[in-house]
Amino acid sequence: VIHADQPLRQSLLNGIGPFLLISLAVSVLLLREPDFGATLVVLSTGLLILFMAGLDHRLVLPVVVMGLAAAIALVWIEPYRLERVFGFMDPWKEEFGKGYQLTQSLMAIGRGGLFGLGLGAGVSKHYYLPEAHTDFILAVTAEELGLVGVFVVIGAFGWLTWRAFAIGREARQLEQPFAALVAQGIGTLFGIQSLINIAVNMGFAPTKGLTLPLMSYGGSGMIASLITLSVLLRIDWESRRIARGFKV
Amino acid sequence: MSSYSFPKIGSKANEFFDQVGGWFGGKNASVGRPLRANAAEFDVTLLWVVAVLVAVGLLMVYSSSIASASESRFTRSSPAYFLVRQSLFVVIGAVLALFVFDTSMRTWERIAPFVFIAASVLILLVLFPRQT
Repeated sequence: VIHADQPLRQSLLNGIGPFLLISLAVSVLLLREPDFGATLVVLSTGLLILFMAGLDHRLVLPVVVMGLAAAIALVWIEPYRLERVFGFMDPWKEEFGKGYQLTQSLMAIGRGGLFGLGLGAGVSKHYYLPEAHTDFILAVTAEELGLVGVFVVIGAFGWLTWRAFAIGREARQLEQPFAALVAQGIGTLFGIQSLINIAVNMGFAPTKGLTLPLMSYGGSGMIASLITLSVLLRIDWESRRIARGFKV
Repeated sequence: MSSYSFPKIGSKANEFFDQVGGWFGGKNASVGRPLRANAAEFDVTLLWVVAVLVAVGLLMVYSSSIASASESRFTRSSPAYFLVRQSLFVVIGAVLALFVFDTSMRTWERIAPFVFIAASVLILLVLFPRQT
């Protein structure tokens, strides 16, 4: 996701052509896994970075439309994705079928109420809710720590995303375009992925198999997240050094 | 804030408060706004927010896996199986993050294309099934 640093050429061929080629190749690889969610996250992050790098929106918008069309087409040709979309629209229709995971998640969130049932007191994790410790960790959090716990988590991710963009803006003002784009990219990455996961847990988006960064169980994801945030810290550290007149 | 004067602490301190004022849009608010002289070297708040998220995550990983892990043969009936593994990864990630923090953005900019190629190779690798 880290390219496009030089002053951007606003032409179709030079500006967005390379990005399209690279993203197409990466998409094909990711879709072969198949990981539809990751493709979505990576591509939208890449596009947003290009946009923030100053690429004309008249070039970006058609690509967004094309991407959305491609995404819909991909959902359409893959039966299980289509099923997931329908299952998400009315999870209670097939409570013990396609809608099972989502209804369990919703019930867990509902049981939690305002303050939650207390740590360990949730029942959904006892085989009711599949992937309780990975994709649906927020549902268990809601059940045991309540709305308050969820607010803390959402607030933390919201703040993290905002802070990443603020660090990016600062780097831009200090004339560090590469660092600025990296910071904004990191903000986008965390923002989008946590947003989608939270939305999936609450039934606002179809299940995609995306984890909640920093919280879901999974080793490589945890390591990648920590490293990414370390880069963000580094950018901020360099900005502070530059602001004080040091060389980096 | 910047309009206060602190004669006792000397001009350095006045400068310092001007700069803090600049943070909140005072008279020193400028594009490359200077930081306070004794401000933290890095974003401590960011670190804390991440720490809280990781801590809550560990807690919930444990809480949400304790039942299934203690009854699964895959985890050898150890209730803390997922907690222990996840904690291990947090430690590994934190150590790696230290090294990453030591890498300047100039270096990243230089090696970015290679990082990208390496990442592409990695996603290519998962497509090849392991021989069993």
